Amino acid sequence: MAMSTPVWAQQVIDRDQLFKRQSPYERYSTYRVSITGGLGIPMGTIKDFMAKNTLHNYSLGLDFVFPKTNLSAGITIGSQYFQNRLPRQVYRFDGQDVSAVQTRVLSAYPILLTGSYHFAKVNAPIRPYLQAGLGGAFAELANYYGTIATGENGFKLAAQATAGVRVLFNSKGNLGFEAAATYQHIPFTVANEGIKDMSSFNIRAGLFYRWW
Amino acid sequence: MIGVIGWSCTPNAIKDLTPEDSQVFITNYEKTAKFGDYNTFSLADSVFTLQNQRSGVSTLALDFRILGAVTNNMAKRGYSRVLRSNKPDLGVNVVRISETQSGVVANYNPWNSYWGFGGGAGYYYPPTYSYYQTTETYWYIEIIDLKNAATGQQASVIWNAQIRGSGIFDESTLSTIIENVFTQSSYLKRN
Repeated sequence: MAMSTPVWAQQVIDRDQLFKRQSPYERYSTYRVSITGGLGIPMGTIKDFMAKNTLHNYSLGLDFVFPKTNLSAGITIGSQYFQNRLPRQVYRFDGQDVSAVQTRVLSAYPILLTGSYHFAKVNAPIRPYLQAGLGGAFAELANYYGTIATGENGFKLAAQATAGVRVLFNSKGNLGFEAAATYQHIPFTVANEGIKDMSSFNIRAGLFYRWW
Repeated sequence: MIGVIGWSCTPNAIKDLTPEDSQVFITNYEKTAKFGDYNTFSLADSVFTLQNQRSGVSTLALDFRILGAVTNNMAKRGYSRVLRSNKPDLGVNVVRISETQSGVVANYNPWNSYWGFGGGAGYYYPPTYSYYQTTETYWYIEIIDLKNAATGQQASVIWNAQIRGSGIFDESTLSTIIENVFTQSSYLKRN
């Protein structure tokens, strides 16, 4: 015979090789969602205005997790609300005195693009990480004198720096525990309250879920 | 200074304020005025009312109560009440003001307004608007300087007070409220 047809063998993976294959998390970009909540502490020039911490402090993040580089990129939204009521006192201004019960309120709804670097491989059961985020926040500062509202609100720049850790409940599983400390900075000027920024330190914990 | 601004959403933060805690007493004074140099004052025997540009006088029991409380506190500060014809140094007016305000606010949606769409599915939530009308009635007390008023010129207001909030038309608490307003104005006294 002059010609022979090549034989295309079907690709068969041996059973022992199958278990040597990398997991999808190591081969593909995968997804992760995390929900955390916890303590918020006012920082910077807002500290005098808001003397109380809050537990109304939530964050929801969605990430694309890259397989080789220990990096992930995503989007985070949040909700933070501080409130403090001061007993009646007389506030003295230039030529004006005001006796009132003040209710002071701060709220921020940040939406940020984030990038994270992890100090462990994608499938490691414990992954400490650093994260930076940049975006905007709908922020509101209100100071109610009785029921008379004063204050400012608007859409402001927002930036975050986070250090945290994710721990898988099961090293081959999807669900895990997450804890993070975040410094959040929002430039927000309210001249008559002496406020230049609305910064906060946030300690949050929660759960994450990964899938592919 | 207090600048009053409108709010687009219902403020939950102040829902639980008691009527007493909702009361706000705002006093303004002329910084150059020498309150110690005046001796006498006169006070009308009725309360003036102002309601959206309309004005009148009122002589309810409540009105006599507040006029009495103001007179007592002025006397405690060393000023003596005289008739208008006796050339008083100060004129005191008590006014009840009703203001109706109406307006429209756009209900703010932080996600839509800036990104223009509500997510990947291409939804767009148009902004919604709320119309509101509020009427607030409050007390306004003013002291005018008759002593230094030049003939034919309007006398200047050297002190005024706004009493706002809930429960300020309650006869039983009115005296305490007026007392508070004078307490926060410690400079208001005769030498």
